[in-house]
Amino acid sequence: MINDARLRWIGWALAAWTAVVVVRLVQVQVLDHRQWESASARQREGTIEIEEPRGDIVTRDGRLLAGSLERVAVYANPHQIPRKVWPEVASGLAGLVGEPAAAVQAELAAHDGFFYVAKDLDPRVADAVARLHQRGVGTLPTERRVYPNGALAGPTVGFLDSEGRGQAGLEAFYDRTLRGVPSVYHVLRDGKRSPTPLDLRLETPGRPGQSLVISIDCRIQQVVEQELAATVAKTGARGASAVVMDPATGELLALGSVPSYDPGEIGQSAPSARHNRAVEDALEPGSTFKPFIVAAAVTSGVLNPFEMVDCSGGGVQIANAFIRDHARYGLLPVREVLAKSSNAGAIRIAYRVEPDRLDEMIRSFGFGRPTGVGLPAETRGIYHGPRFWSALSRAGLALGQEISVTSLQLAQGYAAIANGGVLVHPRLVLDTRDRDGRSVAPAQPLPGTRVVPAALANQIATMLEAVVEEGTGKTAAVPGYIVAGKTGTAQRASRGSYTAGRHVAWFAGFFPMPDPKVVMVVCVDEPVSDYWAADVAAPAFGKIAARIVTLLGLVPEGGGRA
Amino acid sequence: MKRLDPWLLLAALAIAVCSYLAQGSTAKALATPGFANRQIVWLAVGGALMLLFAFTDYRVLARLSPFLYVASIGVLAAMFVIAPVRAGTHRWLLFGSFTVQPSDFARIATMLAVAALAASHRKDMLDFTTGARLLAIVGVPAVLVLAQPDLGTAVTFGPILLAALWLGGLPWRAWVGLILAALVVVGCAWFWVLRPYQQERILTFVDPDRAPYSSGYQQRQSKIAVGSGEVTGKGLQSGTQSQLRFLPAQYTDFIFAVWAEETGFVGSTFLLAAYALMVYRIFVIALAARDRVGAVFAGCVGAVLATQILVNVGMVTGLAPTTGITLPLLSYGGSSVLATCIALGILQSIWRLRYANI
Repeated sequence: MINDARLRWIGWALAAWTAVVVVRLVQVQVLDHRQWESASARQREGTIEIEEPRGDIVTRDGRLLAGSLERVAVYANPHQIPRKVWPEVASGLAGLVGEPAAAVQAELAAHDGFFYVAKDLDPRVADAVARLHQRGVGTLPTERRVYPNGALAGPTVGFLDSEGRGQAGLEAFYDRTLRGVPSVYHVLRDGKRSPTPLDLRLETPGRPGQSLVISIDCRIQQVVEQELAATVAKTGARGASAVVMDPATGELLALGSVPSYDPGEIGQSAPSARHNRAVEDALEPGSTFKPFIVAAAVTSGVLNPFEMVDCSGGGVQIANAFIRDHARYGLLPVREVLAKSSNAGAIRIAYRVEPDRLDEMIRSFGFGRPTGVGLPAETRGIYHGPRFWSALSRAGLALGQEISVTSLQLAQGYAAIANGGVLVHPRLVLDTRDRDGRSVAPAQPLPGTRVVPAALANQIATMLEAVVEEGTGKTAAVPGYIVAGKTGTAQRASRGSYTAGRHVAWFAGFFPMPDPKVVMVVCVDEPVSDYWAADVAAPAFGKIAARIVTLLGLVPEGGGRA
Repeated sequence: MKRLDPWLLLAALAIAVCSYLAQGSTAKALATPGFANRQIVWLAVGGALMLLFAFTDYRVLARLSPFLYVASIGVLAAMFVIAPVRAGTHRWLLFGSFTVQPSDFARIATMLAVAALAASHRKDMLDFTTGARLLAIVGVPAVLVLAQPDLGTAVTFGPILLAALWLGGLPWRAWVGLILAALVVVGCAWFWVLRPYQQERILTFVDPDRAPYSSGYQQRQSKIAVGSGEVTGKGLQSGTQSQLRFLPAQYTDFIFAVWAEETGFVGSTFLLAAYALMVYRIFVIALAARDRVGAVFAGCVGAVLATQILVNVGMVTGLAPTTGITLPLLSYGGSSVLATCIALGILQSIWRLRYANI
């Protein structure tokens, strides 16, 4: 027939070839299997993180500033849904996700794997989806962040980005606390590296986010924001900030920054509104700084609080500059120097103090470093020590120049005067609570630091009463109460020099004397119509203070004769 | 029935069972249950065709072979006009939702024609004219298929020619010349015939790191599937490489990887043993054939199937480049299953009639 030998040759060749293949199988499947199994595991095993519920932000008076609503997202994986039931699945989902069935079916056709059909739906949708009993269709719990009080304390609360991460305010600073720890699930990834619902199991349980109880009093916050907004509207200012603080504990009762924003509608806000002026803006304090110069002079032993200071000449010649005063005052007691805000008097006092002693006192009142209140982007202000001073620097500091402070720093300094000479740390967070409302980390107030003797603090506080009683701060008065405070009108500096016509109006003070319960700083940035602190900041201070004494039920002067 | 070769039947049946199980796995992975069901239909129809051809006299087919051959060349030539372009080739004819790949059937016609020609040559050693005619008979359909383009199927025409020349009795000197000529052809093919993607596949085989995410990716995923199957496998429909869709072309070219992953070394050697039994029996049939037509036809079928099996398994295990050669009976595809079954039926006919005195 045919050549049998040749046929056998083919047989042997094929047998040899087969042997090679079998040897290869032994090598790959038996000898090297670990290597291939681990390569397989590496590419299929993975983890995904699922966020736990985010904590709330609640005020001391129980108002919810930030909270989370339970929502659900509906997903589908067309790969796991037989094509012939697509129309049925699409019409089942259409009503639940609020889209036409045709649109849902088009989405099924457009995706090759897992995708979200709709997010942010009512949680009841989850049961309805479960009742469809369709493999490849399901729901995942999600959340929607809500800010029920809108723009109230907006810049302090902050906001989240689209990924649910805090981007400003407390939401950012306490993001980890509020967010908790996400649960980690083991998943299998497919050839496209997408997680699949196969073998989904909890690997590391997470921890729900914790809630913050903050020291803000919503009623006071509301008053502060109303009055600041009114002042901004009236004066045409760029913005304004205010700090209301308990001088004994450092708890912030209000932290106002106008213009504000609604964290729930962050996209609607002007970019310029998206910062917290009370802690992020460093501005020159002007004459509100004078009490600290007096404190430095007295503690250095170069000034007797009751002596008469030379305020004559209508100004002072320092090096080759002549610094003008508002008027020719002659000899004034220290309290009058503050009450009339005499530049000449303040400068002469400043030059009595050794630069190092002055620097030490400025720093001990908290200037030049952030307060650590717990807000992101808090600035330390601008302040340089004596090494950088010129011959004119002490004159500048006496007038609240050559230094920039935040409203919060200034409030912290005034609180030390109000409470008898102890620097306390401003704070916002009073308590951290778990999901069940149990306190997990009550914030302990940091111990204060004595910066001046109690007697001196009280003497300066009394001097500041005169400012409101008979000096530049009369418009800050609250009928029936004794208010202590100081005005400050600073020129706004930009690009290394002062700009004509751009001012910052300050009023810093506390009430009711003689036992102040509230320290407050009002700062109006670039008022247009009037710019003197006495006409802009002091009246706002007075109006807010008048409403705070009512809200807090503070006892009037003389104990009850309001 | 009694006169059929039971071992060839058994081997085919075992492979058919493996095919259904493997196709069931990929159908689950790809969420296309219809594929497994269709495969079982093709296998059943193929079984019926096998019996039909087993009880047909293969010598009648051999006599009809010139007509069958010319007809299939006509269809292959017409493909460029009548077949729609799908996936960039004129490979398939569409009948409703069914696709038919005529090149699979053209290969059987070619083998019949080759066998008939070799049988008409009565001498021990093949002369030049017959050799050239064999070359032409195999070359024409192979080139037509290559032009579709379908390299994988075109390559399977090679073993037909080699088997015919070898069994037909081409002298040893001629083989030396043939090998030299082949080198020249391969060289020319590289530069003028192979598409860049085909060149890339071969280069990637030589150096897999060339393209770890494209053509090298397939072979790597295939090796991972085979290797991670270990000795006993991950269980049917539980292979992570197939179920999580890391494996490419898993119901066609890489079906062996699915089987190897899910049934392990045990399953893959079982399947290989079934294929070995099939090829062994085909050669037994070739030896036992009553005439040269039967012997050469059986030799060609054996050569083609063995080449397909060994090249495909070599590809899946990383021994050979990715060529697009499917695994007979196991890979999904109606035309391929039916054509293989027809060939096995003709072989049974050759076996049944080996002593027949008619």
